[in-house]
Amino acid sequence: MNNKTIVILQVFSVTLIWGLVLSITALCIHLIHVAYRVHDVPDATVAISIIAILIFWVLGSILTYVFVGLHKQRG
Amino acid sequence: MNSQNYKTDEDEVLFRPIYHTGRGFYLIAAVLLLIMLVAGTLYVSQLIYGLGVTGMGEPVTWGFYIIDFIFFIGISHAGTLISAILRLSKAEWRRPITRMAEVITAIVLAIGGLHPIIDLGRPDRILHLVTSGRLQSPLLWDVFSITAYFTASTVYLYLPLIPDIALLRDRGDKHHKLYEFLSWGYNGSPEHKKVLERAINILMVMVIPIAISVHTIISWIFAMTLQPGWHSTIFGPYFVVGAIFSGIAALLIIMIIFRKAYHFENYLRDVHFDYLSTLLLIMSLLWFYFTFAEYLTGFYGHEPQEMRVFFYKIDGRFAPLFWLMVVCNFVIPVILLGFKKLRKIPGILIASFSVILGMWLERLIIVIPSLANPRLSYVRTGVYFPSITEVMLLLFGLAALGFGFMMFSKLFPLISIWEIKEGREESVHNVSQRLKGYFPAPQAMHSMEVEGHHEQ
Amino acid sequence: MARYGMVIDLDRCTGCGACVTACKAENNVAIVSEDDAKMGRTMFWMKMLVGYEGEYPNIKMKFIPRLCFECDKPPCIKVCPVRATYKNEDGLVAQIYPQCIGCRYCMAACPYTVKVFNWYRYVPEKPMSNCINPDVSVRPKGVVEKCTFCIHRLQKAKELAQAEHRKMREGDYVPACMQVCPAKAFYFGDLDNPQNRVTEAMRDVRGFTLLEDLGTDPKVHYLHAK
Ligand code: SF4
Ligand code: SF4
Repeated sequence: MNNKTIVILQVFSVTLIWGLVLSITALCIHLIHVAYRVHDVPDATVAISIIAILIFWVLGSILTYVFVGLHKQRG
Repeated sequence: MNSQNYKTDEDEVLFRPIYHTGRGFYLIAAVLLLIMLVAGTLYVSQLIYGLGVTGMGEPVTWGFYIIDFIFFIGISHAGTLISAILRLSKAEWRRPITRMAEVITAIVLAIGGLHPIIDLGRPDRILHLVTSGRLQSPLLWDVFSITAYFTASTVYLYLPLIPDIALLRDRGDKHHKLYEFLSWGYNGSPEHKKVLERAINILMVMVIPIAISVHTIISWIFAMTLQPGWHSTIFGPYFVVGAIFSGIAALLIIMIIFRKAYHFENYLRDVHFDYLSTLLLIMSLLWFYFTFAEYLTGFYGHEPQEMRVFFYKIDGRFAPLFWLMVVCNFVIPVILLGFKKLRKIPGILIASFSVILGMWLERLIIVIPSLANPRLSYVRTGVYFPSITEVMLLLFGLAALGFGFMMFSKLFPLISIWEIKEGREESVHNVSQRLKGYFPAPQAMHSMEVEGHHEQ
Repeated sequence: MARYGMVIDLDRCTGCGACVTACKAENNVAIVSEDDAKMGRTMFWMKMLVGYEGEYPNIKMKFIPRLCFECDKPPCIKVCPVRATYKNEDGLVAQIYPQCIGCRYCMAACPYTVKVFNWYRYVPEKPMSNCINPDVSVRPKGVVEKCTFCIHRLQKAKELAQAEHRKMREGDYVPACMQVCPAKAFYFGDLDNPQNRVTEAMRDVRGFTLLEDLGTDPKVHYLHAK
């Protein structure tokens, strides 16, 4: 395992959190869609989804910020 | 890199557990693994035969699993919340504590999060939550809030760990590649420090509302129904207070055990236990206040259905447990922590264990009596007695907590080394500066009219 | 779209329990072992609640046949995380067995403790295995079930009416409990139709519902002279 693999793995770990963030977002959108289709309190669904999506995006951003910050300075 | 150079590191004790493993460690790990194995087998039998292997029935349809769920998630508030609050308030004594607190959170959350799945009658259909989940059900709120909390607290554990991983990487002894990967290229330069610090600052502000929301939402699972004893507006804050309460107790227990096992006496000093146990004492009083308020309003209103649950708790079948809870959560901690003489390590340990027991009982007393006394008064009062499977799965949770903690201690330092070093180097100066800022400087008295408050 | 409801005249009910038995047979409701029964795992969709009124020696027994009240505003539906319980177009609170994940939240939320849970897989034993109703599925283990107002009978009645090119008539669709009641204590039908006997019975002054103040709007009413 040389340095390159390690960097690739590190990039992969960041992608992982974005995978989570995006899948949560997709899940919320899917659930909103279903809620509209079956007329099952869509407004509450939308409100709750917005909060959930927001939180996960912020979390993902913070981690990416650290990753980019630590890698930029290394050159 | 030659590790020999580092043997003179002044914080060598903190690295030691990673490189040296004693006999006792293997022994305890084996016992814990055995417990987990037995419990795992029992769980498989539950998968095969159905939830019938538990002691649940009707009307008591939720038992140990849900109680343990609330309990473990409650303990998880030790970490992130406490360490975030202490960091935010710049409490310098937090430095050797935060790491352990955060580790508890991450591990216990993973364990607690499993419990609702264990409790499902059809765990094989768990994906229905994805394909056709209903966001208006409090259970779905829980799925989201726990996922968010778990992500946030692992990130919050990981970020302050990066400098320590970099230290380990530079020693180059063991798991070199792993540390290289995990350190994300951190090199301790001021820019790197700044990036990390900023991220930690944002996170700790964020993590507090998330943590509070998690236990509030768990309480809402109950409060959103119409059942007597559950349908109460105070439940959110009540659960959060209880969660922090049990969290601090768990933290104290773990601190005391690992201090002894890994010889951290120099780092976890009396002052840390003193402060933390004062916090525990405050939470105990707060818990009593909430409990009292909750039960008094119920009692004074004297609604017949509420009363059925109320009397079931305080002088019916659950009376011994109820009063044991009050003793464990209030009487013992107040006596042991209220007097300076008793507030020593043994006293704190006993108080913490009693709080852990008491808080578990509190969850039990919230869940079972309300279910056992349904609103419809013609329905007979239910009985519930846990089966061996349920008891073993509770032990599984506790064993997994211990085991997870031990594994962590073999990979990463349990006390944040860089924060200790930083504290040693900078905080004396910083704190004295800060302290000066609290009070008017002597010369400010004279120049008050001229320069206003711009004095530093 | 109908809105089916029921009225039970408690002054007529003798507490014979025919409805309880009929329901068990009609809906293949599991029969549990003695040990399980002691743990409160008996399965009844229709259950006879017994209440006592007055002081000894002037005690009066009160029988209340209790089924699912098919609430118009059901608290059990609100909490289900996967839409396994829902209100269908006939106003019935239906349960989708293949969808339920067995979290038992709906059981905790129902103020009438109506729902029952399949703690084990039900394998009908000898005499019973010969009289399984083919119209009703035997539920798998780990799901929640409850009274459906014999929804399969509604299905059949609808199909028959369609085949005969006519509208549904009163009495086309009747749940099993009502069919067997020797005291004729039940009224059942579409509540939106003011001519039905059930709507008439609902206007009776003796009428009441259980836990009225919760606002669940049960569609099963009782009649009882005070
Ligand atoms: S009686 Fe209970 S199960 Fe039936 S609809 Fe009402 S709340 Fe739901
Ligand atoms: S037990 Fe089944 S029907 Fe009831 S709330 Fe859970 S998933 Fe829904």
